Amino acid sequence: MKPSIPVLLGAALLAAALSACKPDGAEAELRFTRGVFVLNEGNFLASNATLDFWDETEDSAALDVFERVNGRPLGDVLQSMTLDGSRAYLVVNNSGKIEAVQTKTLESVGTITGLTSPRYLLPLGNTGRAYVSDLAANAISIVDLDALSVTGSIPLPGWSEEMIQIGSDVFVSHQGRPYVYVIDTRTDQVTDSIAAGAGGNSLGLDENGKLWVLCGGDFFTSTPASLHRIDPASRTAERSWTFPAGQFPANLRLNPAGDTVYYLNTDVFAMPVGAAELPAAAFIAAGGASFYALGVHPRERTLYIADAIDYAQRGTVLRYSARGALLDSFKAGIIPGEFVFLE
Amino acid sequence: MPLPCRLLLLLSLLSTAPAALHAQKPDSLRQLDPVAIEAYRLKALAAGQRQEPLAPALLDRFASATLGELLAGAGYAFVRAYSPGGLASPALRGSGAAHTAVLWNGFNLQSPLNGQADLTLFPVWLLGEATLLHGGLGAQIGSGALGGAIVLQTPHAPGPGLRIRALAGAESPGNWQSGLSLQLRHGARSAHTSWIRQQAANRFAYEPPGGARTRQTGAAWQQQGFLHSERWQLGRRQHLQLHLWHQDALRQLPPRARQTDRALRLLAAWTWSGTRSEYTLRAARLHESLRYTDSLLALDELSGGVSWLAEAEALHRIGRRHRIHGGIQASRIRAQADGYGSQAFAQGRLAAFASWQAAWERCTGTLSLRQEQAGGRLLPPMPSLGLTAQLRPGLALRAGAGRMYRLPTFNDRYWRPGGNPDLQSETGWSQELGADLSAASGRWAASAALTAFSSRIDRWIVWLPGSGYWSPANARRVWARGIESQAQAQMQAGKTLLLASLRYAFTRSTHQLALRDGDESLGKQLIYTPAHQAALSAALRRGPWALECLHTWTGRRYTTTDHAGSLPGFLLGGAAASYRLQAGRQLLEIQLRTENLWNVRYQVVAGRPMPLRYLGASLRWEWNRT
Repeated sequence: MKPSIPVLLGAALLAAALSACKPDGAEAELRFTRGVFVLNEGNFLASNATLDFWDETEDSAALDVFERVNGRPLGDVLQSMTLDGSRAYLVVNNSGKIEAVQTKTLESVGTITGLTSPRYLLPLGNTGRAYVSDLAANAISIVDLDALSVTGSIPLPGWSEEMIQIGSDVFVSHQGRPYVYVIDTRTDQVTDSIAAGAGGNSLGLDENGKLWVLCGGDFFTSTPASLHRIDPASRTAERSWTFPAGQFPANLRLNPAGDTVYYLNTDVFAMPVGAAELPAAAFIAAGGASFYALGVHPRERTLYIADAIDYAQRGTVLRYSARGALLDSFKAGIIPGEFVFLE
Repeated sequence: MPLPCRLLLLLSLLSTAPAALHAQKPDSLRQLDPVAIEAYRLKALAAGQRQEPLAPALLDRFASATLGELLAGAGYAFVRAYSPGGLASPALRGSGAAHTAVLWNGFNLQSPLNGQADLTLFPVWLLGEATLLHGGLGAQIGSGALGGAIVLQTPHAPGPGLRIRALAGAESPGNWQSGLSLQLRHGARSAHTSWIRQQAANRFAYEPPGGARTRQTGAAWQQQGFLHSERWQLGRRQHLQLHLWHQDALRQLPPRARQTDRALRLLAAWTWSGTRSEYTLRAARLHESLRYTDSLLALDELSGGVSWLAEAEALHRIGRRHRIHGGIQASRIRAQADGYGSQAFAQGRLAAFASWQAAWERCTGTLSLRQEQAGGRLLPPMPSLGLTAQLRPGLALRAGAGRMYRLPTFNDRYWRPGGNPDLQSETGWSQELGADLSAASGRWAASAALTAFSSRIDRWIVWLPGSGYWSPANARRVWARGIESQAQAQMQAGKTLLLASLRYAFTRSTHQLALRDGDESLGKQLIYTPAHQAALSAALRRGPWALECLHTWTGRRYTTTDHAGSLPGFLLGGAAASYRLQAGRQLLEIQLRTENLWNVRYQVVAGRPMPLRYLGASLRWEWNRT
């Protein structure tokens, strides 16, 4: 039987409608179950940020997965990514937005706009709310993760950076002021400030529940970099270490056991949380490479290190064993700046 | 066929060719020009190298535009243009943004702070005479001329009288231009005053990758320029020149930054001319300042510098065949920037230069040498050799080779953090070989030029990430080589003049040194350096009417040093129709044109959209009294 014209027309319309559900250029069938997201910042103002995924089930890398799934580029400077159950949030700093996606497919759920220069997003438990730190807004933004909108802000002058929630408090590292700030999530008020060093860039929690903050110092005031171990209960720095002048450490990370602190200071350094002194020798020497990002696999304890090379070409991700032996490497995008592990 | 269709067809087929046609004359001159330092510095010193005067008709066609728009629009050079009105830096012969010198009446206007000359800040209306010199010119010009140079000379009225010119232009994205110019020669005095104002709302349409068509915002800009030149003939042998150029520009840089550029340039020159010798003393004060603000990041960065330059120069003719030339230049540059801390830095430079030129029946040879000392450091000597030979009428060969260099900029040396006071100068060698052909017969004339070049730059300065901050290092080595070709023809048939021209350049400019293991840039083309560039133009002139059509092709540009990212090539078309009305002493020209005729979506620099098709109109009026 020959199909009638109305049937053909109907089929054509249906095909068109189905194809319209997917943006032009989008690629289906990508699934993300277990592996490592590599966040490539891209060049400032070039809008060439990308997201790559190292699939541990396949032992292969899938490049530029956000654009492949959604048919559009991510934007300008991908700063961070937060996994929150079935959702993931991609903070695109210089585009002033956060892309909300399905974690398993990366399909776009929506976009949070109206932000100034967002850095990190921290969901507040199961409240459906999150805090977003910011480089230039002089405030922490409060966002509604269901409505994907900004609902309020908490004044905090200067450049707020990484955040960690302990109980009902959120601890915020600060790049501009020598304090770690405490925000009470019940009142959305800054309730305390803990003296630390200048240029607080990263935070971590150790096995004893102590808060570690790494401060890169301030070149212009010749304030040296420093590392602090803070007791969240008493809100004081129990122990502080000062780096020699001319050093600018960043990217503090803890291993899954929470007994070792890692950080980048040209090379990779490892320091047991009970150590009395800063490590003198590098754990992994850069050997001329431009180490730019550091991640510790939460299960395998392997170290992921990004080499940005000249910051104008695709960087390399190097994988090292927990003992510091090079395992392998793979290529990522322009300026790989952070790793997010999907279990 | 209805008239509009025919007109469109004509517009798409014909046009006023870039006026290079008018500038190209068979070179039969094989004896030395009269002794004249200005002409000597421009032409003789660069003998053997490719020289392209920008013809008056081309300057008229782009009278309301900037120098960057002219060079890119007419296909003369690739210009790294961030957006209309944004930073525009030339990339001659595969070189970097700070490798093209812009000389104004003999003094280099490249910023001592960042080494660049932003071609947006050079309105064509103010330029006077302009010549493009290709290739390294270390011996002839000094620091910064590794890819070539743009030589600007303020002309003086050729005869007594008064000439007034006025310009009004508009473009559909909300852009306006107006200009006025007076040229006077009376007795021993001649004067030239020009003023231009360009303002642009720049609300043009564009299509971002993966997005719907939108309109550009936050990209408005405006600039004003004022230029005044005086020349007094003091008796039979001496003349005095004074030049003043004030320029200020205010630009919004998307998405939210603003930049203000100001420049004040003062120049004085005294010349004594004899039958066999000429002596010149010149001095200049060049002031520039830049303010960059970003409301979001609470940035308000101010920087600026003042250069004092003095030069003494002599040219002497020996017999009929030889000329010797030499001089010294002393300069002191003082620069201050928020990025340097609160401190101002200064540098003194001293250079001596000499050349010898000999002309025989059919060939000319020029040997030049420059020795410079900067900041107490002696640079290597910079020699160059140029040869030209007229093999037969209509066929000339030229060859040139020379050493070239670029001093580290103040930003390179003093920026905090990262500035590296121990940087060495970039140095290199360039060579070229070329042929010029021309032929004419009755109603037609044609000419062509072919040039092959090679240029190696060592110790290329690049900012690289270090421990916590970026710092410049003499880390790159680059080899640029390629072929440049051009051909033009014109035919007169009754009242109709038909012109056509074609240009093509192949440039391979590659990294010759890996920064280290894992650097995949080795052997690859530099970013934002197209391998292929072409331009095709055609023009038809009949009586007061002129129709022109110009197309340029810019090949793929890589945006990452490992070639993982690139921007596709783009074809830009433009068409214009003009009507010229001559009545007595007055001339009125009305021009209508369309840019980006084929509505091509393109970006010269990634993330910086350029306009889709838009329309422009201009009115030019001239009044002459001799």
